[in-house]
Amino acid sequence: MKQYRSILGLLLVGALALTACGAPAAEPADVSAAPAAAAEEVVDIEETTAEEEELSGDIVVSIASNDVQTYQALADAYMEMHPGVDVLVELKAPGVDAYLQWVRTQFTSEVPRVSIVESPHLREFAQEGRLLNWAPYLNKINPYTDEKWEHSFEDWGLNLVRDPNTGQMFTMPYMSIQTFWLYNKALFEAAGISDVPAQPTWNQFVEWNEKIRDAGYIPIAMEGTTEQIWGGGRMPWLMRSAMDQYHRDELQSIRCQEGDWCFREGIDDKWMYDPADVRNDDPDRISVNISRHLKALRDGDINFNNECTVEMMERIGRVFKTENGFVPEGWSGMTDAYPLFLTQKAAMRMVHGGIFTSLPKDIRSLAQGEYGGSGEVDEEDAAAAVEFEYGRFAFPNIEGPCAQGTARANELTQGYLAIPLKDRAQNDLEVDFIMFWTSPQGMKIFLENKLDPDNLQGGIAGPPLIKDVELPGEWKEVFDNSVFIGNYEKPGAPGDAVARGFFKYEVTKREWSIMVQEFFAGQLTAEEFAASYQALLEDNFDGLLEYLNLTHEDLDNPEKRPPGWVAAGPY
Amino acid sequence: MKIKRAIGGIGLALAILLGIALPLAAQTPQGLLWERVVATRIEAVALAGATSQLSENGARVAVGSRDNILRLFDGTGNPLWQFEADNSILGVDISPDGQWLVVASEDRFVYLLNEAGGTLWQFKAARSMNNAAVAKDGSLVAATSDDLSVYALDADGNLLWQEALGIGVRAVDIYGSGEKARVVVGSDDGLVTIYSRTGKALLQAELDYSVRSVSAMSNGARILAGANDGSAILLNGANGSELWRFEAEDAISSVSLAADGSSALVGSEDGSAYLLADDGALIHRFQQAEKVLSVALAPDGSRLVVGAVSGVARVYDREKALSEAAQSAAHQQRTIGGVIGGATLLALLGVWVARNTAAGQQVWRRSSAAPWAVLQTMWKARLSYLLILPTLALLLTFNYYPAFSGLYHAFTDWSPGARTEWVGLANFRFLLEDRFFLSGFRNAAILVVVSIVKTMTVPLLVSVFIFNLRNRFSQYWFRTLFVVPIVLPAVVEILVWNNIYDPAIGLLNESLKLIGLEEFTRVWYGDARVALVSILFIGVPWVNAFALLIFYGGLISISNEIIDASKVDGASAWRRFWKIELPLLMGQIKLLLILNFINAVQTFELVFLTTGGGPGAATYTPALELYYMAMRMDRMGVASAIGMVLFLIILAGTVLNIRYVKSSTEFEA
Repeated sequence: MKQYRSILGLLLVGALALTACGAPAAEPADVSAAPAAAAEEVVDIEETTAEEEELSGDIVVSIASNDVQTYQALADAYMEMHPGVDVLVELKAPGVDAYLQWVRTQFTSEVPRVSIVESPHLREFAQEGRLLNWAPYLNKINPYTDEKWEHSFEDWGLNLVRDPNTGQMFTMPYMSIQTFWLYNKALFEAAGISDVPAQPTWNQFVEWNEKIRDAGYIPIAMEGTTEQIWGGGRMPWLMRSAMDQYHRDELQSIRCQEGDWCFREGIDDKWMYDPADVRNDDPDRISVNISRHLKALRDGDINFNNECTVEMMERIGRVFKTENGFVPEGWSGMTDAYPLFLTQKAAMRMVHGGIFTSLPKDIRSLAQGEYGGSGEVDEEDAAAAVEFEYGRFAFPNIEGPCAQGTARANELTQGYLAIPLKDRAQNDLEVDFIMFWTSPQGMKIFLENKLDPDNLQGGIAGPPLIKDVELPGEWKEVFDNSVFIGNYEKPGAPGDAVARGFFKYEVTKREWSIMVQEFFAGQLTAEEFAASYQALLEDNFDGLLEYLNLTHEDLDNPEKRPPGWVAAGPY
Repeated sequence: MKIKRAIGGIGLALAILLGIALPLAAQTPQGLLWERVVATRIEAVALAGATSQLSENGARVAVGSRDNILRLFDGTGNPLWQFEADNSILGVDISPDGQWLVVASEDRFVYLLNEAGGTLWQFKAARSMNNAAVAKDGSLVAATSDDLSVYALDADGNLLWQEALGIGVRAVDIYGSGEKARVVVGSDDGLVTIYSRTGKALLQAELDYSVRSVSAMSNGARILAGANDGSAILLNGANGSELWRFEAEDAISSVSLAADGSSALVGSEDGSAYLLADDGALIHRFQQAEKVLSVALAPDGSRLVVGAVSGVARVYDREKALSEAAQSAAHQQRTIGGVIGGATLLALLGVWVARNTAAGQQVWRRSSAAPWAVLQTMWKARLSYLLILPTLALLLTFNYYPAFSGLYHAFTDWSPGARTEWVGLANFRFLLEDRFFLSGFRNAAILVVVSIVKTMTVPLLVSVFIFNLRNRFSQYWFRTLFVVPIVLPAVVEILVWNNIYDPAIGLLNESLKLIGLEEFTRVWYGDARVALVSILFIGVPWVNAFALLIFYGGLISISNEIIDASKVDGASAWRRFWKIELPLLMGQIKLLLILNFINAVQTFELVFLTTGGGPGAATYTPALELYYMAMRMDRMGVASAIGMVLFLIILAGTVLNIRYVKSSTEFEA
């Protein structure tokens, strides 16, 4: 009986409580009282002064690198200047996919603990509004240089990274990088090649390959698994450079025109098409309208199933088709061909500037039977790993009726520092650390440690992007010898956007990588490749639009800013 | 049974009550006066005059949209005139008396119009004009542009000053008039700056996030700023200090402050326009079906207009909205009270039935006895339950939660930390057309068959071989030798095989060349014809130590009496294997079948570390496609869907195994 009473009692109490908890009636507003009229006089502005406070708080540096030495040195120097700040160096293991996954996990928190991340693949977070826009800070005075922060950087570098339309910038560059070909001088001599111009023609390049092959060496140390092509590697560099030579004139139809939302007076009205000028498509010279570009692709004004694509692929095939014997046997199943170059079995390799600091270390490691890559090393290889004299040449110029300009390479900024958006005080603190890092004194510490020969995790790929910072001694000389042929990778560049799939849309990148493999293996002709590439575009066009957050209506009205357009978009 | 039916009836009645009451309660008052729909999104709205000052015909509502047209309506929604620019209208402002309208357009112009729609002047910037404001006497116009500048123009369209901020700016308003007019600007660096008519910066307030919209009282005493983090902040116009803050659920797109600051309107991308009191308290939420892009409040706060992304402009009457809100709330409270009362009565009725009828008492005893007994048992073993609790919690957190999260996210477009949108079966439809996923199934089927064959043959033979060794010492050492490789991680084994298969310097090709079989050398991972077979051959001779131990354990558990009896009967070793050992190992076979099936269906690292799925799609597996979808394509929803498909396949395979493969115990029975 007690149970019944208890249940009854509980029910009644519960009912009363629920009634009390019911949605309250909206407070009936005082609808009868008319708001008072505003005063006519404008308010007097009071004098205010801002107080300077000593910096304090935590900064968590979580870059994908094993180079603790460099980042800890930066952190220590900063903490010495600001005792109230704790800079925690919590580096993550290198590896694009794993690091991105880790970053994604951090962003599941509304306010991530991490302060500084670095990756070229942070676009999605910028688009979702989770990353700090560097632009406002670039406008401020850097306390470590006492000048406007923006002035510390080379203009060309910032222009490549920030959005030309809004000025927004979500990743901060601080170094530079260039791609080119490295060759073994002894092997060239053995093959009877003595004249190596700074930028050869494609025919010369083919001729060298024949001579080297006939001399019994592997001409090019190149790997070609799906991962190496789809995931990014040497073959995409080459294909992008080639496509850039064949699609430069499309700028004329895809640029922002008078009346377009992106038209910049004083810039776009002065632009003239000049394929001989390798800087003709730089973002500070021309604006590109993404809607016009996609409209041209949709409507077939830009088409890949034509004799020009065939010409381009035939030229490339002369060197990289497996049957020619210029690349290692079985290269399409090879994940790392670098040891072939280190052990002087192969004569040439496509590289970036980081090779200068890494090559001596790699040879030294190889000689000791150790190797950081995935290729196999045996005793014979280790014995062959001795320092050798090498030279460099720029990406060869493909020549043909359809080629529109000279070959260009990656001449890019490097460094993709990003800060998760938090409250102003915390972000200000984190930016202050980066201001220190990119000041001459910060960069001095950075470079000294990166170039420390005992720092096996160190190394740089090019000179710093920061003005008034010089590389120490021999390194200055090494990078001063660089030959600059122009950069194909820049916002809106028509060739690069469609060179390996379309606009970095992974679905098309994957299919493209398979097509490339099939072409080099002789399973696809150049004509079939051209037709397949056009079909790839057409089959995936709607998916591409969705990925870019655009609609057909946007393409039909290219003069209007698409509602789904974002400053950090993959355009 | 009757009682059960009665309880069921009570439950049904409750459900009906709630079903009727909840939709009623969900009805929200609108206060809507009228709405107009245009073909494209409405980027800007402005409102002049109010019922307390002007007649219905005297009020003005300006609506600027993406179709390049500015439409002007009177207080009742009648169209008065329209103005067409050469590109989208991005900003509109109107003086309180409706005498002047300023229009900012993507065609790079800012236009000043008179009350009849005539263009008084226009001014062109280097980039699109994205917003504009006009002083109440028309003496000053301020406009912001995509060229990252603010422009101030006099009544004749002459440029008074231009401030190049070098940062995105689209929030602008003007307070005061004549020489005392001031321009308020909010920029992407979170700064709200007040400029004098001559362009002198008078005051600067620093907010945490980008400022999307600003609105000032007519005398500038209060300034409302809307930021992209979803906060609307009221600032003291005299010193920039924060007075209050209102948080919406998404970024603020537009704010509007009544001329006397008595109320504020905040439009948000969360699909609402929030009417706030002068202390920041929420007065009413005008819920829209889509993102709100622009809002405007009449100078006296009596009316408001909301422009939405779908192209609908809605005009509300504040008094009507609040009155209806009060009525609706009272109605809602009555409804909920009625439901609760009804539910209580029904519950009381249930208790009465249970107490006063014999059948009720019987059902009560029967239904309460079991749970009570369970609770008593648990209490007796409370220490055991307490000890198992941490394990259970960890299991739930790290195993069950992610698994169920995956099941849910299979039906969403999911980017962790960014978006989770319900898409129904779209992910599964996508998979039906994904050639990599589909070809992965063929490979997975081959992997399943080969994996089972590999596990059921060599380890079984080796275990029988060891079991039948006469010398115990030999048994011990052979067993150890075969099992020791289990310490080698699978990844290491795969990497070793990668070197063996290396086409240029690998052991396999070099060996073939050495013995004169050069024609058989291959690009083992690069040739679609042999890539999958190459992967399958990894681990030759496939002495799976785990399977070996399982089989060996099964063999030594066979009673010696049976073995001895068979020997006495003269059975050969071969006959003994087929007729005794193998049937008695059915339990182990069943276990290994299930485990191998699960492992083979989930094959990932074997392919990822060797061919990466290539060449082409020759060696894809569903698990590899899952990885690529999650890591490369950023399509976590599709990856979850693949996970769910794999789960269903494994579940079906396991059920079939349990159902149709008999273990030895069942065999004996």
